[in-house]
Amino acid sequence: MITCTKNNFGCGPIEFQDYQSDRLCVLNGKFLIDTASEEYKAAERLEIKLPDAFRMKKSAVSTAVLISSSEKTRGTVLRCRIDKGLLCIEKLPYWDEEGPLTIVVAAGFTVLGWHGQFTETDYKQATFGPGIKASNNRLVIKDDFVYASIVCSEFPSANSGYGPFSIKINEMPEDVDAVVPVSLQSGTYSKGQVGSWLGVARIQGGYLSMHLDEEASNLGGQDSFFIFFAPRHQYVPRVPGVGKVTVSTEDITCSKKTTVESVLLAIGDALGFGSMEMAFTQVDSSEGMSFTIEEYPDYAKYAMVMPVLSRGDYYNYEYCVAPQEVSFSEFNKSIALHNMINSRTRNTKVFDTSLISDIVPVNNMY
Amino acid sequence: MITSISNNFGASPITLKCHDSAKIVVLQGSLVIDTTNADYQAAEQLEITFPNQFSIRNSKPTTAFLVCQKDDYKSGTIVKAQIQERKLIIEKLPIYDGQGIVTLILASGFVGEASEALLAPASSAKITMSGKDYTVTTTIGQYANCIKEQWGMFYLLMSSWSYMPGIENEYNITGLPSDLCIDVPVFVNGSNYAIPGSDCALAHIENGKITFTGKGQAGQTKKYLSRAFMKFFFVRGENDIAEY
Repeated sequence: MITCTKNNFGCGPIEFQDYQSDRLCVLNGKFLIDTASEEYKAAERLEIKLPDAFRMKKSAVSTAVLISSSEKTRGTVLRCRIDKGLLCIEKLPYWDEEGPLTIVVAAGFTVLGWHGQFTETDYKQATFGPGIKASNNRLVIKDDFVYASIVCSEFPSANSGYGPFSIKINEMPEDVDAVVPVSLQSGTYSKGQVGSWLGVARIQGGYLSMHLDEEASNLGGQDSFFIFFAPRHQYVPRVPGVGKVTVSTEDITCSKKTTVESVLLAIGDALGFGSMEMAFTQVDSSEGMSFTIEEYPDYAKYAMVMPVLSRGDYYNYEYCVAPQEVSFSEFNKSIALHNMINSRTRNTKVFDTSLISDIVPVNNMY
Repeated sequence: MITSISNNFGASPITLKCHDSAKIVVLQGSLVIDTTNADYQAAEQLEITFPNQFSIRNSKPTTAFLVCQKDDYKSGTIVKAQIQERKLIIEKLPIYDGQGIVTLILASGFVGEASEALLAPASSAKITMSGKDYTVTTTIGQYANCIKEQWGMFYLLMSSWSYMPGIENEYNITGLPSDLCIDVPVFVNGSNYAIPGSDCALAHIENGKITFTGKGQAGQTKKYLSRAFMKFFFVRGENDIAEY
């Protein structure tokens, strides 16, 4: 981790996770810009002074991502490079009236004008837990950093009220703890639209977590994509704690698109017994639903996944059964119920006992 | 095995496989309900009374399966089941009442109040699955196969599962305990228009084999169970389940 104490746009100290070598440096972090600040207004480009010991003094061009506070958080990519010990980011004033601006740096910086040998880098195809499928997929895992470029054929969307979520990236090293800009531009661009709909995800412990704006439409879904560099050796899993999970209706907050009539969830015992009793209504539950809990129990881990059965109705199809996966998001402090067969139900009931289990993925579902 | 001493819906004595402990009670077996029976019609909920109290006096709710056959169609759903002292209480769901006989299948785990512990996911033993011969194929999507000394929980979601209509289809499955013997519904993502609930097949699992009779007429071409899944608890040992 490096801390950059000086910049020319009036921001406090900025921290980046870092990986440094002679030929490649990786920075990962984000910061907020107050566009009303006098320093920002006076700046021609954004300059962040890197620590004196930073290994690379001058780099080829890379990217940062600007996310405005505008409706649907529109934004775009910015030029970004290291120059004379400064991290220099293009100033793009289009969204200055819609601050504060979030700038995400999740980039790799290479030596400017490299003349040596180029070698091909091995990459993997990432696979995911329920909710994400990739149509274009490259994951590079090195000893000290990762790079991913993933375009999704399936990605959670805000359409049906699936707000906070955490989804496993099976091949992602668990020591990554990175911010990741995500393009959520799933629909077509509207006439006159400037920029793409963007959001910030967090990858930690091998899970990608986000909280979509449940009130938005067409945010996320198919064609969402993310491209990022991130250093490794950052995420330290929480020390397991002794406890039990008990959640009831009054403890939760859910999107307006989902009406939760009742929730009773209890998980305990060393064997990980879980019982869930729940009733909720959605326009379409084919994706799933999620809710945040006020006091998230420390010992509710990403890995605590539990299969349960649900019963639901959709027009003339009544009392239909579906397998649901109950999962926890440490980052979002939320619990999700994911419909594993994407069946559609408006009124859904769960009353099942199960075990938090190691659910083994074997093949893509469909 | 436990055998009921009474029930409120006019059924004969009911015998179930039972694992009874302070932490979990697992009940496994099936019974037939005659929905034309006057006792059944008068009942608000189905109550089965056993001679002794279960170790868990009042359990959390869990699922039992209700399966109905109408002509060539088989549909099923889940109903709520709970233990209350000596009784097994089952939700009465009247959706199949016009169909005469329905089957209630218990493959259920019952737990009490959650107690504090170091929570860790139960590990899954590896499974594989294949058609008995090349006429049918299977592809597993995901599974959880939690095997304990005297009971277990199994969850399976298939990516693809083909079958031949009108005949018994047999598949090999490895990784389940050799003493597992159970009849459970395999649900699919779809309904039969004729009756509520999910389209399902009734599968028998024993000796590393899953068998079920494929929906349709013998001689028809190969068909697929769409997004088929099953989830159940089972009692290990006591393999004389065929007696009831």
